[in-house]
Amino acid sequence: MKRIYFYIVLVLTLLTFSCEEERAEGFNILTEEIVNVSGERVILMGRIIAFQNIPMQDHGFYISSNESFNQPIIHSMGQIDRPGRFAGEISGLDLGVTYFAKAFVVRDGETLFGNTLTFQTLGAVFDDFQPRTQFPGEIITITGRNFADDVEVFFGDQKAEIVQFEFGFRLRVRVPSFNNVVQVPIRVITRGNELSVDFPFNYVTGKYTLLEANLDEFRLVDNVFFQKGNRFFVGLGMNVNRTSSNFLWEYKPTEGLWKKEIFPGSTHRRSANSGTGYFGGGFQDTNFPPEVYNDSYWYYDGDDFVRIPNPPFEFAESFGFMAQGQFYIAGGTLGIGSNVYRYNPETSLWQIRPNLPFNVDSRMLHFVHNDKLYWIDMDKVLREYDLFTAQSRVISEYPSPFIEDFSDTGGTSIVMGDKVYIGLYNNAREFWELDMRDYVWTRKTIFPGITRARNAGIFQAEGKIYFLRTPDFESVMEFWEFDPDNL
Amino acid sequence: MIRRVLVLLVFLMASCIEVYNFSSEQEERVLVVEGNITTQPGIHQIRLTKTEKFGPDFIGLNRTEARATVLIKDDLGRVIKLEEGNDRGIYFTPDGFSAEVGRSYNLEITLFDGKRYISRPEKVYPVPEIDSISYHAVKNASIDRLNEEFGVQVMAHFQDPEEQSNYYYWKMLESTFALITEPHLTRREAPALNLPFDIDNTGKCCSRCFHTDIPKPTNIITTDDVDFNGNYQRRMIAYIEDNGLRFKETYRLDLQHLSVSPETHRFLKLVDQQLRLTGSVFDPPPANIRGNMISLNDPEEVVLGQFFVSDERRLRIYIHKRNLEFYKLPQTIVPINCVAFLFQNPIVGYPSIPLPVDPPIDWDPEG
Repeated sequence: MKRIYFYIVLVLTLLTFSCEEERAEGFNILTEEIVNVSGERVILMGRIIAFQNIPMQDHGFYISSNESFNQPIIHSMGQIDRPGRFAGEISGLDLGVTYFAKAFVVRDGETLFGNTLTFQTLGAVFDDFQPRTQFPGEIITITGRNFADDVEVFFGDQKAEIVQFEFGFRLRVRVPSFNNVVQVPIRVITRGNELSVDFPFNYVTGKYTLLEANLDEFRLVDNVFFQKGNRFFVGLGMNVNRTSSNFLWEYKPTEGLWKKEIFPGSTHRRSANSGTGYFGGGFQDTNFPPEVYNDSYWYYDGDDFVRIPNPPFEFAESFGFMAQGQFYIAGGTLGIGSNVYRYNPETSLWQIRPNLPFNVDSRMLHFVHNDKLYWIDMDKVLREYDLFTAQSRVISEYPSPFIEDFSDTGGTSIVMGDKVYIGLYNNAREFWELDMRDYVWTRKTIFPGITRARNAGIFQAEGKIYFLRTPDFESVMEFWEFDPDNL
Repeated sequence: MIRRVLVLLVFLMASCIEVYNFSSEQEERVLVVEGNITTQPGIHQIRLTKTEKFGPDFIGLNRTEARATVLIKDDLGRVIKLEEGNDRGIYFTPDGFSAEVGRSYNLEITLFDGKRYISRPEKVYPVPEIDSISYHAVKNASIDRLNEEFGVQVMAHFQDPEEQSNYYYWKMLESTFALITEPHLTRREAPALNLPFDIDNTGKCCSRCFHTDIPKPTNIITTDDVDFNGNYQRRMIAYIEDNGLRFKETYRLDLQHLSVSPETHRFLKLVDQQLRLTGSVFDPPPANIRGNMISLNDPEEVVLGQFFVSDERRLRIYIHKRNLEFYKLPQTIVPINCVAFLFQNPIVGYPSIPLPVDPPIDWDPEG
């Protein structure tokens, strides 16, 4: 019986013991995936597949431009002792080159490799820069693709300072000093590749000259101005001391003098003024409200002021403009602010036209190009209105900031071919060129004169712009010449 | 002798109970990436949060991950930088951005603390056009043995292309429905909202408003064409439960018809499996579903979520009560002015949004 117990205990003992099988430390190394490739960078993923932790002296990736991995770039990620995935980011690669990549581990001094994957780095592309026109020392933004960290930017031959390099797709660059050339190409050089775009960079141009010619002792406001050929006319309205102006002054650039002329009617303050010789409406006194409406309308034919019929509606502080040889009046502060009337000089008749889609008045800047009316509203929106189809659309936005009740009124504009010069709002110095072909705004030189002034007239001759301004705190008006393409 | 053996066995079987000190793994707060981009031009968004502990010491919702740099890169090297909106942790593409079919995209994130993450590349596959959409009412058994669940199944009719493997995902969007209430059934005082409130028993005023909701249940409906490659399909793409309010008149369902990559399909399918867990023995085990985000600092770091890119067709269908064979009865009676449907007691402190009486501008149920 004792023996039986002995054998039972022995069997139980043997049963509880077991052999532990030694598992071989096998593992596999895998180059798993090309996660992301850019111009000079690749992110790779590798994987160590094993059933247990295995200490490795090193792991990482080999990268080479040839399949035999001669002179490889070794991306070493150091010691590792656990299986699993690992990701490596390798920079400094050449653009547009096919590379071979494989993961590696170093185990007991022996380097073991995974499978080989291939990838091609991307080429760099220079897409655009904004703004297209800028002052020296200011910043422009270059956008593109796959710029490497060695990127350089040149304006013509001048190297520019890169202020910010954003993720290989955006560069903020300081414009180098002006080198007597207004238009220069921008070149971007990265990894030995030279990139360019089809359009040049423009330095900001525009030269202001304060002319000597003055209007006697008058400081005109709320006045009329128009141009006949190279003859500029300004007048009516009132003096800033609220004395009526029943005069007009004429200026010829060749003579350089403002000459006073008598106007046959009473003054027109805040009238509808087309800038072409047609004007009328507004107020005939200089009182504060209630003001006396002036219902006469005029046309200056180059020699005389000819009175034309008045429209069947009162207009003051309205838009006045010419389109297809006809005089239009729109909006204003009397009655309905979207009314439109048209005067046909051939029939001497006024005709009502479809209302504008919005109320407008002379606080908003307006101009006509290709017989379409454009205006910039108090929210800086540039709208286009087709006078014949009565369709309107938003074209663009005035690029300078408006400050409500401070710089959102009083601006001036003049059309020269396909370009419109816009700006000089109240208390503001900005003057812009708008290309009507593509609605691109180009900054012009900042106005150097007094900003606390009101625009009294704007004219053009021989590619130059002339404008009269009435300073708030000076005794005489200022007459400026502006050459938009000079420096 | 037998007694001795028994005593020995008793001693052998008896043992001391050792206290097992269980300490649960303290999971670090992990990054959660939610968002996708599609081929529809517009503003697309990516939301970044960090998980919060859940349990007895649950202290709040996931915290947003603000001030991160979020980039979308395509396989041509184009980079789109997403800007953080007013809501922290939500990053928006520029307006008008859209993905392109055939391109691959990576989402790259650099957190404010410098940690970097990148998604695996996601390719945009073309999604087949839908020929038409139809719907019908369905009844299902529910947990409540006495009451069946009613709902509406929306079916898409389309040709699956034979030459390519397709992975589909239909995502329901916030949808609008005509909310019908019964203000004539009450003479209750109007809540202090200064809202029009019908107290003349006519029932004419404000018994029809327009309300929006995310259709429930929010199941993930995704499929691949392994079983029907090249065949014409009549397939359920959405299911909306009838809660007694949704189908009192007209329900306008908006949804996205999306193509997804095989990896995203697998991810969504797993998420749907987890969402459908009912606690029965037949449930798949709860799982930690890995997405396609990789930490560049520590590849073993867990990142939740899947960034995916889709070709998208926007679908819209008006579901009319008159076309439903059956619906939940009795329908829910709301004896108040519908404008005040969302009214809450001011003591609660939440602002109450009056529901509009006028339909949305693009409401065109008969169109």
